[in-house]
Amino acid sequence: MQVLLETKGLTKQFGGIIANKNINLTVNKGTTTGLIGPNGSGKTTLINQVSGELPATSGRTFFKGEDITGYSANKIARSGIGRTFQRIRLFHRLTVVENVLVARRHFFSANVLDIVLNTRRNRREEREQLEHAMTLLQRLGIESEAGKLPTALPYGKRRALEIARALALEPELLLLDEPAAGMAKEEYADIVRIMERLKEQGITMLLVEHTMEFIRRVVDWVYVLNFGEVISQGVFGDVEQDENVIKAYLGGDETL
Amino acid sequence: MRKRLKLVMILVFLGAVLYYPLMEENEYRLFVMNRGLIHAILASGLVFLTGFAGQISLGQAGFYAIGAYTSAILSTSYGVPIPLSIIVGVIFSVVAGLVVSVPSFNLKAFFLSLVTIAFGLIVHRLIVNLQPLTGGTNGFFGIPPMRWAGSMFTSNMHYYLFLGILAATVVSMYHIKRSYLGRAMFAINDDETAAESCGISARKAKVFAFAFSGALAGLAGALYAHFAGFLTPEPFVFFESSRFVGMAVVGGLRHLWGGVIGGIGLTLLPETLRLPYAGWENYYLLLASTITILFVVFLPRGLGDLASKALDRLWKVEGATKTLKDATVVDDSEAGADDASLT
Amino acid sequence: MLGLTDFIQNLVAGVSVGLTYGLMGLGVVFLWQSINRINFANISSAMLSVYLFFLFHTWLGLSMLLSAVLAIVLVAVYGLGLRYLLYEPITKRGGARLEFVVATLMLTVFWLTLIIAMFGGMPRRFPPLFGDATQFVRFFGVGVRAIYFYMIVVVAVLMTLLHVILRKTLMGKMLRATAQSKETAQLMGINVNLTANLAFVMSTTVVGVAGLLLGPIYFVSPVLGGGAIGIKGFAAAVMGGLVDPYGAILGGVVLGALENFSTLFISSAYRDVISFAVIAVVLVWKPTGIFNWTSKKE
Repeated sequence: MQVLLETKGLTKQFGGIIANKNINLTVNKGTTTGLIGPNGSGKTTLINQVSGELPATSGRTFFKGEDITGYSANKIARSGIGRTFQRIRLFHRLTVVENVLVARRHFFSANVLDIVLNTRRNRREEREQLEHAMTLLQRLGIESEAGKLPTALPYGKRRALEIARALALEPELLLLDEPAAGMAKEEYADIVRIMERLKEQGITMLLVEHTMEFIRRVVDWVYVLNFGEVISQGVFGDVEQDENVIKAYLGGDETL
Repeated sequence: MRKRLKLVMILVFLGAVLYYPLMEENEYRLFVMNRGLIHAILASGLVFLTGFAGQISLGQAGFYAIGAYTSAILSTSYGVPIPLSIIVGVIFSVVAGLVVSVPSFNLKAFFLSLVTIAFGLIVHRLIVNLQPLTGGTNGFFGIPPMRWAGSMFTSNMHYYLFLGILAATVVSMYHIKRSYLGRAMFAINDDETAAESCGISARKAKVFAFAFSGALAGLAGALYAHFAGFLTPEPFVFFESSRFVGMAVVGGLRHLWGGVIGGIGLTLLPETLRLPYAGWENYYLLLASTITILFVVFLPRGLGDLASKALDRLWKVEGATKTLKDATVVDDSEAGADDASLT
Repeated sequence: MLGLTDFIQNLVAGVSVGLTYGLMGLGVVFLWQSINRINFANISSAMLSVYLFFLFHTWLGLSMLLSAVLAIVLVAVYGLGLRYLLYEPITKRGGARLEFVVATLMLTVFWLTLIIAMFGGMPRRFPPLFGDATQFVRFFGVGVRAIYFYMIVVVAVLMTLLHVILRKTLMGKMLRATAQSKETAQLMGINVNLTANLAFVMSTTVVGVAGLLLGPIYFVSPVLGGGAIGIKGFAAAVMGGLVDPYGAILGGVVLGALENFSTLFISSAYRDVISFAVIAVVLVWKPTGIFNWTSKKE
């Protein structure tokens, strides 16, 4: 199997607090990898390090064999890593479809002059990208909301929009930070369906999630983090039985 | 029916705007109107910078001054043809905009406002002190006026030139707003982290916003230099910068026409208050700034917002269709109309 | 060569003028700590106190001391007015920082226009509140203007007073608790409303005092509210990271000294250019402040 993402000894320190210590993680192409662990175990920090939002204190990240350590977040996004956030972050002054179009920025070749004069090239590209964005919205079942502002959307659809926006980058890897958190029952079912569809389409994903049922259903390989360290990894069925993991969760306020 | 009403109103408005200087008998009022147009160009740049990209500049008079003095010095002391000197003035302001954009990479809007104030003050002090070049506080005189076919620009010609440039500015901003550049700018304004995750370089967007608004301020300054014929450091003080921001806010920061409405409105306002009562002469400016404060406090979204809502009601466009129209990004009918006004 | 005389004269002048910048910086710090806003209208407070003083003494014939006290009291009340006539209405209508910034800036324009309309742009003689402005005293055998010593003494007294208030009294505890977290303060039963009023009043008062101290140097003139001096107060506050009152005072002193020595070594014409450049550099290089001992953020 082909390795898509690899971290080597990734460490993050905030002042005196170590959030992540020596994380070695491998994500294979076409698979869905899960990150689980008690609250504060460094899962989100790890996602933020990979996406470039947080610079690593030490260690390296490789994507498609290229060392992307220290790249800016926007460069990492362009190189093919899309992401969503733990607390949904949308652009509230842009409509739903414009939110998706933001991430299509690098599929435009029109220059400033094209834009100011609204040349044929600019109009054609706008039309093409608009169509593409609408297709994406359709894939996630929110095309009827295209003209609304994100604040007018129910929570589940906001999450779908955030995923659509990440997909607009045409990423090879999708980072999802608690995609099912806070979902009502129906919304949850929608999200699971979306994840399964993405899996079928062969999109590689790395996701953080607390809902174990969700992990069991969509994830191929799990890493368990505790106090910023990987304490176990494997298929979910095995990890579930791991004594270290059970102990970590019993120590925390959550149970498997 | 509604569509026809809209068309009629637009035509009447256009006709009035184009016919205005021909029927204006008071030369001074036309002069004030021309200054209003210059301010509108500059304030539009601030709408772009603050309303679109979420950056702030309280030193816009600095860019204005750079454009004005560059074009004045080049054309007067070095005999550079005026169109060229104006272009060089704009380029210098753009360069200054690039420099000022650097602090915006890491600073919150608010500290940035202090840096931009410092920038404006530095430019002002340099003008005062570089006397051999700028004339210092004595002023810089004898700036050649613009010419057409050998004869000097009349007030009417100035009016049409400034109006054309302002129209081009608004049309450019309209197109940028609806392009990937505009979306990138709105995105970093809303949420920089999320924008970065979409592959948008926040730095590039900020640099572009500062360069564009710097260019407009520089252009306004260069036009002013040749229009007025002389320059003193006075119009480039810190408080002019705050007046400019006031124009953008009163007009409506989030509104395409905000700069136009605020720029012209706040330039005309003191003049309309200039009533012929004895002892009043000193106080009309006071009333003007009071009105500005009241606008900011009671109408923080600006006149542009108010006007567009009123017009929307007039066209009877329902909320839902309105948002859909906005969403489709390329609205051909409107884009076409604007293209027509460009030529 | 730089003589000892020049050095001492510039040092004393720089430090004392710098202390007044520091006082203005305190005005910024108080407000930032309590409501997280910068009040550009406070730029005018220095000018207002000087003109009020002038008005009371020269036009109404009150004694100098009474005039000065009345001027300061009115400026303090002005601080309260800023809250209820500007800050609260804007906040209530959903206006955020930008709207507050613009409104307060417009207010400075208003005051400046009013003063020029009433008194004209020309400076007027500042009544000798601190004795004859041309008076000199010997300091290490060098003649130094007496006004500088007044400045140092007044600021020292005021600082001590503020220190005692902030550290030792209940009011100070309330202010500091509110500065750290509004929610916690509220839970502790602190009257957040009252502390906000205090912050507004204190912020304009210190700037008003600074204005009176600068009177003998700048005279009764609109220059005091013209922006440049106020911005130096902001710069002092920035050096203290906007949160550290002592850092603001120290920042003001450093700025004042820098200004005077740049006059000495480079040219008086470029004095302001240099200090504004320093402000820009400090902001970009260390936005958390170079003299900030209050918040140690990474």
